[in-house]
Amino acid sequence: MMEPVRGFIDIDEGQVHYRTAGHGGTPLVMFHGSPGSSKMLSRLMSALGETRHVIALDTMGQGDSSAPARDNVDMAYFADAACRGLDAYGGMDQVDVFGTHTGARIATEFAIHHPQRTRKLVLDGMSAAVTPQGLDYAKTLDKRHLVDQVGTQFFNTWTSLRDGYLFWPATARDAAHRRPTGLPPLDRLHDHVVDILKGFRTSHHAYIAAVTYPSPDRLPLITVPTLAVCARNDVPYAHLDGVADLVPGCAKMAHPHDNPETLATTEETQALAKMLADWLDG
Amino acid sequence: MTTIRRRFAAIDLGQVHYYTAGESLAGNGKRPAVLMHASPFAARTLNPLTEQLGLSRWTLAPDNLGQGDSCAPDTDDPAIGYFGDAMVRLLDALKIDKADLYGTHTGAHTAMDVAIRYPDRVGKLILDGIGLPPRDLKDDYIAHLRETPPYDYSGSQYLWAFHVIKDMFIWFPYYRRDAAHRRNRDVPDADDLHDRTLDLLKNLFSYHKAYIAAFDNNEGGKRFPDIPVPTLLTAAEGDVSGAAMGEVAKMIPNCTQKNYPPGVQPGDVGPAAAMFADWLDGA
Repeated sequence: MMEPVRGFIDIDEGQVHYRTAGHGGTPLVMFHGSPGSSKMLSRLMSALGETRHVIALDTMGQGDSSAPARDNVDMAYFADAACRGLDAYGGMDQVDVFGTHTGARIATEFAIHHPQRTRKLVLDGMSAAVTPQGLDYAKTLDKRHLVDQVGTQFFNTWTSLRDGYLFWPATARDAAHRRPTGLPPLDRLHDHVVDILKGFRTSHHAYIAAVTYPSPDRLPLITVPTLAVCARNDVPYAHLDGVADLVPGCAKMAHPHDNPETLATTEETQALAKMLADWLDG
Repeated sequence: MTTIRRRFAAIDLGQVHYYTAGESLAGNGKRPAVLMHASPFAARTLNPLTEQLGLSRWTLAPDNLGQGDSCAPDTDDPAIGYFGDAMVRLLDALKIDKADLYGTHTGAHTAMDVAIRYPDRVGKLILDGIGLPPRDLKDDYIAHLRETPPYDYSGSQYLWAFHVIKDMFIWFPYYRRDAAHRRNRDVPDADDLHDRTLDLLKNLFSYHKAYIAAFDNNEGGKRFPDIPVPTLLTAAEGDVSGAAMGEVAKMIPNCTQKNYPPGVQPGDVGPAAAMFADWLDGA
């Protein structure tokens, strides 16, 4: 499998960074979770790129994309920025759309605002509710004050990311909140730390918009063929049925393996890619 | 809003990442300027210069292979010519026949290598912070750069990288952490430290390759007499390479020597941009 290649698209407020793999078919546009970048999707992109052109955009303010145009932006802004990026990229008049976690919210707004452009939609790790827990969590996501001359942000990023794999919420470090997962391979964990550090001062814009996203109001507005998916060991798995109920005519499937993509083996990633490709091509 | 854009260009080894300004000025009668950065940093550190030179000419600042966002070298012990060749491949990919080159520290070695081996591709050359380090210092520095960084599930790499970057502004060499090796200059602000550390973290196992190649280049200044193009030799006050400038200037055939404006610290390239632009535009 080929590693995705990287590029930049110029839009009004700066640049959208992307990774792309594969050729042919209806292009598949992918949106990643927060905080992170398209790098987190690169293994799945390589697998899906065997059968189609795949392009994953870094969310504005995350990875190597520029900061959002303004403060207090909502999910519709991120979908619009992606749309303008795809316009500038070209050849993206009709696309399939995949989003995971924050990316699922962006994908939802993309499909709602551009139903003619969206052929099929896949929502991974989507939430069916706004929870008080989520609203509290949103208050912790702006970490700009941690960037200092003693390097506080580096230790904070490392330990917060590690704890996110072990507890949910990551700050509830007790047995009752222990996740059934271990840590990913060190290289993958390090790459994710690097991605978080890239957007450390601006990633909260999209992350807060995602955590506070009114999905019960928005999901029923989707009009395109939609598949809701989630890994059994992913935090939002309990929402899978609720998401499928909210989206008109929605199909739903659990990942073929228990691990979310961040923890998946190569074989598990390939199995997920096959499941998604079969649905997109069906 | 900055006028700087980021781009990738494909060469046979992979993707080269660069910052650019003044793209619309390509073909305006001035040669493009290609800026080469110091180790273990990335071309981002040259953004003030990229932006200002980009007001009058197409300006590009590529990340060295194995540093910033460029692909890593495909060999373990590349010499400086490997990085010079990569820069020429980048010029080919961007269809640039001839450019003016600026290089600082590692970048000065790469730029000098390109000028010597590809004289048809270079108009003028600016060498910033290039000196005559003694062999024992070179060997000592290279030995430290060959040490494998810590990398583990305890996150040792983050503390290591942060302190390597910070200590480069406190001592020279950065690993001689005593009073005798103290540098008299400011530690960068928190945002700059963040960005520089991040660029090292991207390249824990490749950042040292260009760095070592530069230290291993130009023994005793033996390559300086081979520079075939007009050369501006410059350094900021307090630059660790600056002490030998007078001697270096005598070794370069067509050399102009001009220092940074007084009071400007090494690495603060913005205040020198106007001087560089004037010299590039001169006869």
